Amino acid sequence: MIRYSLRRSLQAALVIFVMSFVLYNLIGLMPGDPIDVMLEGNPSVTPELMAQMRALYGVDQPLVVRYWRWLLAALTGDFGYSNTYFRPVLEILVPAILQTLKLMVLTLMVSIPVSLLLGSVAARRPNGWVDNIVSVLALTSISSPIFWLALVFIIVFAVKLQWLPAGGSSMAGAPLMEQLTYLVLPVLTLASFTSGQLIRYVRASMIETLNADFIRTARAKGLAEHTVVLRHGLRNAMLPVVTVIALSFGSLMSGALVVETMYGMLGMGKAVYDAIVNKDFNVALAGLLFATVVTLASSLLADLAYGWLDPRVRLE
Amino acid sequence: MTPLLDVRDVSVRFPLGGSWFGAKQILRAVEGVSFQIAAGETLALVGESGSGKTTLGHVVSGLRSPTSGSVEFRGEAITRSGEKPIQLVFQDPFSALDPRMLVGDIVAEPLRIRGGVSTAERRDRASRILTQVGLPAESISRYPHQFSGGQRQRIAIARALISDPQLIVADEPLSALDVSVQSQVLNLIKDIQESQQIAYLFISHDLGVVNHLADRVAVLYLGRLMEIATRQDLFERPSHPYTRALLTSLPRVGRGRRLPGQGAHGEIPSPLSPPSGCVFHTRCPRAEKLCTEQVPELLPVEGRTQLAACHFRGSGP
Amino acid sequence: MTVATNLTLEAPQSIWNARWNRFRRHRLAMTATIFLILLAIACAAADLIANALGVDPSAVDLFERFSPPSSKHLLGTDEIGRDVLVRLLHGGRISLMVGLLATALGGAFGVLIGVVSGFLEGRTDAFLMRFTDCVLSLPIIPLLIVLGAVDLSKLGLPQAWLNSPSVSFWRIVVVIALVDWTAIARISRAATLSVKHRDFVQAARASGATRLYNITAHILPNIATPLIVAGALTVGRVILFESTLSFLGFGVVPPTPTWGNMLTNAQELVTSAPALAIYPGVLILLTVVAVNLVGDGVRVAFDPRSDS
Ligand SMILES: Nc1ncnc2c1ncn2[C@@H]1O[C@H](COP(=O)(O)OP(=O)(O)OP(=O)(O)O)[C@@H](O)[C@H]1O
Ligand code: SF4
Ligand SMILES: [Mg+2]
Repeated sequence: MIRYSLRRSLQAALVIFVMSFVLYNLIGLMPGDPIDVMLEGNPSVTPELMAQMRALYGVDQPLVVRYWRWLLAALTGDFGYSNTYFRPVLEILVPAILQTLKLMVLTLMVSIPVSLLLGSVAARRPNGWVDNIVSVLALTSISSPIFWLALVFIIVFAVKLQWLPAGGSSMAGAPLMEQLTYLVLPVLTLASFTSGQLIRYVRASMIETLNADFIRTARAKGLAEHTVVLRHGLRNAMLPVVTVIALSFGSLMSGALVVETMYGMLGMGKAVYDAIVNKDFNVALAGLLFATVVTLASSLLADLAYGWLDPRVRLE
Repeated sequence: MTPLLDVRDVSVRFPLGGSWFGAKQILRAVEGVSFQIAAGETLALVGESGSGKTTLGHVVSGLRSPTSGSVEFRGEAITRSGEKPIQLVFQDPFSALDPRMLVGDIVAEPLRIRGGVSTAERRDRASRILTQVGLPAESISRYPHQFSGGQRQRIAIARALISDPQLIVADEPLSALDVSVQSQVLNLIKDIQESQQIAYLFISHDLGVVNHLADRVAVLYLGRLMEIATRQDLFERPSHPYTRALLTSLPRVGRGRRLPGQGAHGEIPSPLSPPSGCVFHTRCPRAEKLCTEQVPELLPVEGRTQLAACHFRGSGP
Repeated sequence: MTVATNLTLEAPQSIWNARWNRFRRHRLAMTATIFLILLAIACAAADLIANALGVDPSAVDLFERFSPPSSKHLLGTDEIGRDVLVRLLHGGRISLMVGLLATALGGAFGVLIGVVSGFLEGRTDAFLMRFTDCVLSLPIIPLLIVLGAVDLSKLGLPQAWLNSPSVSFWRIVVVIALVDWTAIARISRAATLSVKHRDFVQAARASGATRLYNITAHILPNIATPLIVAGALTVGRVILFESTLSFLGFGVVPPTPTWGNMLTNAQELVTSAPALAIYPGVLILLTVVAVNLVGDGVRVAFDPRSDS
């Protein structure tokens, strides 16, 4: 098992290395180059000066050389400077990452209990009316574009009902409750977006476990129905569900990007989005790489957890 | 004269995926098997489940390369690709026919693969061969799921016959069929045997069927040949203790009882760690110390036509 | 030789008849299919509808901004006086086309990877599946944005082509296809593995069939069912991706309308004209729901067990 974990981790590290190269190249394919962006609109720039700057920043070097330099620096935690904010990339990204993490954790705190509840309630009587309602909800959730969900929530809760702010964030040092009001709509949006898939998995997993022999035995023993569902069913249905949650980090990340853009939250997603719009190459690259690492790490964790819990997987 | 098929010292070993606890294990499915089949002859291959019959059949038909040893067809090595006058009939008539193809296309497939035959002619020959195996010619425009197991097996036989093969490898073609249907298909095979000069490697569990069809019989145990003899010799004067054990509970034709446990007592050892010396010694009523130490070679039995791999071959029960 | 055995000869097309009957009985799937067909027809006939109503889809009319629904403008007009209904239909054309084309393109790639992987097994398989896992582990929306932002002239594509209006359409088709092929690859691989060991493939091999023959004649027709279902789900996902990308400004660019980019300005209009922010989204939602339901119906229709 230790060898298995090691091997999978090594593989993941290799993937990150390869992906960093691919992303480096992709970012290089975006319009313009860093020097153009820096000197844009400066009338005194002569071609000679451009060439000097290029040499100074090493932009004239072959791609592989530039990548190698970037990688070595990145390994020491130096991701270069942002050319819109003129500050080190990490100084911009770290607070943004924390903000996004807050959004993601709060979202999971809402969507996991809700999905477990709805999924298992629906599973108790497949094709009953409760199940049908839950299925429609889940289907709507997976079929809605997330940016539009955000729009609808803004129209309903901020414009029409005026309960909540439509976006932005509170002043620094504002009372906790006020800080939280700014998070309600984003969390609600992201949770509606992620719950659909999760509900479907919980439901399918529960239907399967509730039909398993040991559950029938528990029922036959005359245990109360809710004990059967909670104690025996849910616990056994959790393994696939935990995996799905871990695997959904990637889409949660994607969703967070859109939600942050919609509500003007200063998170990772918005940072990456702004960086791409403003051709802030270093920030975009570091942000994307971070998102990749998070996604990969969560699927690695899911794999390992599965490996620990289900010995068959280890033998491949 | 060169025989039609010449199998020489063939072994097939499957490496089983590296385990976490030790080195790779090797499964010896077939070990040092040699035999020949003459043109038009039917050789039956019998043995318990897991003895390597199917694996050997795959090697003969070129579906699998042996780990060592050689297979020659009319003096030429069999390759895994390219045109071969060898056809296969499988045990499971449901898996043998592509459910998405029309029966006519299934039967004519060997011609299509070989090429050089027009679509119209393929159709023509398919419907002719289908009537030969006892199905209406219109079957060509039906799908396999519209046929019963026995009918499907007829379709599979038609497919094997259409390219005028010289050897057909039939891997337990009856054992998945209903008993009532078995004898019909058996009679069909017998008819074809009598009317056409085709050699068979006929793999079977069922000694009754073998007695009905075979010219010669080869007995396989844990991947090794125990005995090979003409049908008459084998059934009347078996010289290997394992063969005798098999024969003591010969089921009648059609019963299709499986062999495991019949006659020989105890469990079949694992092909992952075959017993030392004679692989049969763990279950052999005649086993002596010599048997656990020395591997008996497949040698002629004195005064007979058959070969047996037993230190005490031929000497009474 | 032997007497012909009794045969009950059914009509040869009965597999498809049975499937069609099962599909028809799935009422939601049938409704969804009809909805999609009507939508496709309406979108295809957008220009005819515009003519019939007497509106010019691209005409800007600043005196008729935000006009409410009328007999001429059935759904009213937008912030610069264009007819909303006609723009929605034009946008639907793009969304549906992108959905189908990107699914076809990504699907073809996924099937190729999956079938090769499953058919060859061994090292090729391990390599291709690791590659698939890699792509699967990428954060999809940020990646789509970067791909959408790529400067195509840096790839050495001809400038003349890059200036043509269809570029942003094809770019988004390719970009989405590049990212969304993994599910289909995995499904094709699993299905291939289960088919390739069936005896009919072995029989063909024994007759000397090449790998290519086996893949085209036996494997592909036999893995079609799961692929159709996966394809339907992919179309839904692609439509969502397209709308998100276009909304964020990295997809199809205005003035060509798509359901996504029609919402780009809606954010500023939520107070003045919330309906403008609702229509395109509702269409996306309904379309994706319908596509998912059709996929569900196909799954049921192809599964003989659902007969009982
Ligand atoms: N592809 C494979 N990989 C690993 N082991 C295999 C493979 N194919 C067969 N074996 C093993 O080789 C041995 C012989 O199998 P084979 O199918 O040839 O036996 P058989 O005599 O045909 O049995 P049966 O009567 O059940 O069909 C068995 O132990 C089987 O588990
Ligand atoms: S060699 Fe010995 S163990 Fe093997 S069959 Fe002969 S008597 Fe039995
Ligand atoms: Mg077998």
